[in-house]
Amino acid sequence: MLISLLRIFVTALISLIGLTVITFAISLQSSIPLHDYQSHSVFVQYFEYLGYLFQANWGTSNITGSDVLSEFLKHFPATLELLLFALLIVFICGISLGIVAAKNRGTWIDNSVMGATLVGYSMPIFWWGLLLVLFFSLFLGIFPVAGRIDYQYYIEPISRFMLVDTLIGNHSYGLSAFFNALNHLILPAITLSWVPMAIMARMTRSALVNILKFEYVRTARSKGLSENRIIWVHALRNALQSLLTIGGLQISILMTGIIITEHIFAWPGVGNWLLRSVARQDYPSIQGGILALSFMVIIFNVFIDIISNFLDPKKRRPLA
Amino acid sequence: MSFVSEKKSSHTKLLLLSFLACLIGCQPSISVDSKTGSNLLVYCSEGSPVSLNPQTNTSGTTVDATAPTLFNQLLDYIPGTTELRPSIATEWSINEKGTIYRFTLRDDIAFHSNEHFSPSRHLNADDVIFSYNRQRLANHPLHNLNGNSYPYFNGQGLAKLIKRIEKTGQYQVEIELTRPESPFLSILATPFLPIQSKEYADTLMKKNQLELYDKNPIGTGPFQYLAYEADSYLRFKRFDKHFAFQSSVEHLVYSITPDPAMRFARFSAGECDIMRYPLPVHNKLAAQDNTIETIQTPALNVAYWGFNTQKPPLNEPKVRQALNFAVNRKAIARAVYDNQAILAEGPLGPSSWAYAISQDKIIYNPEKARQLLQEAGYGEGFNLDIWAMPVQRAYNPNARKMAEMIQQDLLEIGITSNIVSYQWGTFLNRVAAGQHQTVLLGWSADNADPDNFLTPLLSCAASNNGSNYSRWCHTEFDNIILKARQESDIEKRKLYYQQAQKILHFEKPWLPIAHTPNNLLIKNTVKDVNLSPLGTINFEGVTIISKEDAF
Amino acid sequence: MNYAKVNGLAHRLKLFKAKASWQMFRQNYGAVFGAAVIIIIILLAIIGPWIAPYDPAQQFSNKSFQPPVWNIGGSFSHFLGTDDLGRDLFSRLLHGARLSLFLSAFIVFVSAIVGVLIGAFTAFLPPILRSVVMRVMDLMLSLPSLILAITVVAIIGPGITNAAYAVILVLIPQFVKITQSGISQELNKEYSMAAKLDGASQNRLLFKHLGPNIVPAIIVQITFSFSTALLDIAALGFLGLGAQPPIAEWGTMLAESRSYIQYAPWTMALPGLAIFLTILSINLLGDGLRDALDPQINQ
Repeated sequence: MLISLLRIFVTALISLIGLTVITFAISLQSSIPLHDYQSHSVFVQYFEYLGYLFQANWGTSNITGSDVLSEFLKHFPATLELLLFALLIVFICGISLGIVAAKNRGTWIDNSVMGATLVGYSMPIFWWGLLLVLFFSLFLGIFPVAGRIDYQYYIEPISRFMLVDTLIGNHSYGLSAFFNALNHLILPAITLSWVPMAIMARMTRSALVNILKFEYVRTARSKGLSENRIIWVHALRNALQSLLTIGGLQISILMTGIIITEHIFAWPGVGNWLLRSVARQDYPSIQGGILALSFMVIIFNVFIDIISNFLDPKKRRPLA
Repeated sequence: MSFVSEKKSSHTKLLLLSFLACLIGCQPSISVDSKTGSNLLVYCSEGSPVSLNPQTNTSGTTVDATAPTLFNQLLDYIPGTTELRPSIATEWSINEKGTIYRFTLRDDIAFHSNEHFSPSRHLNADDVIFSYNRQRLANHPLHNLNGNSYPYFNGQGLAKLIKRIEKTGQYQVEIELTRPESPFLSILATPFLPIQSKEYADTLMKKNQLELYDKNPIGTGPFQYLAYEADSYLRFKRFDKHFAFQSSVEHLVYSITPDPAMRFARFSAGECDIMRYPLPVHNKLAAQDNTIETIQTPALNVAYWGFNTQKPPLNEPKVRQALNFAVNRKAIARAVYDNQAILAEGPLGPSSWAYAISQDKIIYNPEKARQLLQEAGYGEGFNLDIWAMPVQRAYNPNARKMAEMIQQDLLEIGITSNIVSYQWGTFLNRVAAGQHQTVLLGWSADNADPDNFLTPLLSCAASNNGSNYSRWCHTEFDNIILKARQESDIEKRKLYYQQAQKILHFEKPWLPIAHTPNNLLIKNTVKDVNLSPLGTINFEGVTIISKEDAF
Repeated sequence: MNYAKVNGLAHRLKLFKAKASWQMFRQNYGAVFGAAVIIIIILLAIIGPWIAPYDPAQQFSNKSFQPPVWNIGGSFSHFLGTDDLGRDLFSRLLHGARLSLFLSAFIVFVSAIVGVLIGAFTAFLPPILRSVVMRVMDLMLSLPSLILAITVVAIIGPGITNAAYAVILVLIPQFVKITQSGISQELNKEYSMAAKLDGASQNRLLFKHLGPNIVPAIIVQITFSFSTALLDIAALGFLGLGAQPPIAEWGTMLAESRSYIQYAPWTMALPGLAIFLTILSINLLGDGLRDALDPQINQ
């Protein structure tokens, strides 16, 4: 057990070292050095760079003059809010669709769910987002085009999670501000969750179908257990571990998607900030943005690894 | 297979549907209310202000976000025109030599307040002197605040021009110049020279928080600063003690939306009431909608295709003349400007008093262009770089598209070309360093004087790494515009400028392309928004009326 | 054990597998449909310059925003309509198909070769070096592809060639992993051991046995990489980091058309539809190939 945890951490550590090498390379592109390095040797400078990172000194943007880490922290809650909301949709809708398809396998319901998910995961989300905006925002006028909340509401940033701020903030709008913020989340979240949701649904279905073939399921059935109980209690529990791993893979797709989604919906998050920095050749910010986003992915993967380690005894292998 | 859970899931489905229905059903009423509510005005602007103090930055976004909203100058322009009117100064006089200006100030002007500062007195002569001296004197305590520079003040040479500024009474100021300068009042009226609070600076200095001075601005304008999120929004609150205007709008929000497509989408979805820089397509759509109005003011700007006259073959006037014949500007006017712009014949447009109607207008004649190239010895053509500016400006909504069209036209006369572009800051630096062959750029005047086009764009002084991107230096032309600058008789100045334009017409350091009117799309519920010919938006008297009254 | 005997057995098994695979593939209607559509798109891309009615850059300045033929105001002269500069959309889409498909094919070709070479090389490295290489590949895989591509573009600047380099880099690690693990597995299998004992050279081993055994996995990976390449190039174009206008590239066309989303929705709908159809049919084809070739599912 301990050894396999160690193994996960060592892998993550190597990844983090690789990552900082990449971001250090980006920071070298900047015409003004990111930090005051003592040494002239690039090799030593890299270690100085690591030191600065640990001291929470990520440099200063050469365009806006603001501190990179605090800029990131300012934009990050918007991204995380959208990401978590989308992840919720991925898990709830994706798994439900998968269960529905698995229960009705071979019928038209199964076929249509599978067809829909195939269309879903082939959808270029930058087109999908535009279609949604065109239809729901501009044609029907149901959802807003962009932003996190209507300007009529002036919500002081406290946690910078709009859903939270509308609830805990000191204002006179009541719940309408919260619902307004929620309303702004829906289209971006649908856009973002579309592809991973389709993949989730397909994976859930095939995991369940695989398990339902096993002997113990047949035994359970012969014992007179209801199909629902079999799916919910036995099959799903056994599929949980592989679903979690798949969920972990989705985070990578979500991170790619979030940059595009933020671009389409003018969402004031890290993705938009990163794209703006690239357009402005603001290397300190690019370096910081990529470092932070990738760091998140790596940490998330570590989490998933640890959890699936606990769930699956077979995975607890000694260090190779 | 059992269907028990089918029922269960249909329950959940119902719940989910009703939840969605609630969201869908409840929301529009709220959002529609917000758009017709008479106390909130949302303006979709094209970019973040670089600074909240226009003394320190001259970009359009900075000016729009600050000058007529937050601040006032000694005098300013009557909205929508280039005529001067009193503002902080009620009257002024000039001595006979044209070197001493005396201003009398209003005594009832209050400053904004915020959590760091509440003013104890009205604006007086000290504030005027403080505001100018901050920019003028290198040893002023605020001169180097946050590493600032004062591009407009220095660009106009005001530090040298102003000999002294003196307080001659509580509400009296005297300014002495080193030499007569006829555009001086026009310069003082520009949004780059606002009057700011000395008391605020003193208060912050005591608290050791001087760095907040430009970040949390205090002014005298009709709206006061509330909050700013870079690249997201800028919020203002009505200033109830403004000396001249009372808007019915209580909250003013600048929604920062750089992408024009997104800007129009937000505007047409009702998320903002005013949209800056609509594309031609948006004007077309707006024309079909009777709830949208277009505000247009004749423009003091010019878009041009500049030739780097220091690089062969463009050092050859014949080649430059040929290029002037080669471009189908009518097609550009249609595709890029949607026929909203006036084709330019020179830097000055018809709205300038110094505009001279030239005998032979610039026409499209590829035949003639080929012939001129032949005469210049370039009959077999050559390769040309076209640098297209990467940003959208009033004078050029789409330089990239323009470059693509010119590229096609040049093929006709045997010139192959490639389009070059960089990120905006890099682009300007490289063009200023003369790395380009030809460049699509433009100029928006910052005061109404014709000199504001000729000296910065075509003088010898600006030709070496300045804003004369043609790097064209013509001694005769230079002498003429210098004389015109020092002359105060407007009829004599006109004669000088006519001579100058004649020289340009032969020398062709550019192909002038168009003068574009400034455009704004507004909801018909919004009244009294003004756009100055200098391109600045002005909210000072804005009102919102109810939807029913709008028709 | 006799090496030749095992060899013959394995060969017969492979023939059997190939037949079965083809049967399975044929019965997968989705895959057949995908293959048909992708063949049509490839054909269109190849003969594009001959059937395109106009030059994709040619501007009919008096005909801008002409709708497609089935709309009011459309005409057969520009049967999919025109864009903001009056350029023929059908010609531009054809050019885009050519660009997208050829570029993606080139990208996948390069990254597959580089990836397989690195993978094969790595498989014969000492374990410590091998695991270092594999950790680097894991890092590249764990980074979201677009973020990696943006990183590359941020360093070397936007543009279609740079975007292509970025995507090549993104795609390499998958091939490395597949090849490396495939070879490692095969080297440990009984008949390889036996062959080694019989004194067969390592090169001979690679080509005769190991190659054919990892080829199916690589074929499947190639189809999926192809769709990733196409999608990433289009996404970079859409974000303004890939192909720059006036190049007729699908993602770039989509980004340009955003400004006209209300006025001329077809300029937005058509490039998107082209991307979607291509990706859909590649995915159908890839799914079919995987089901047919993947030995685990074949069992």
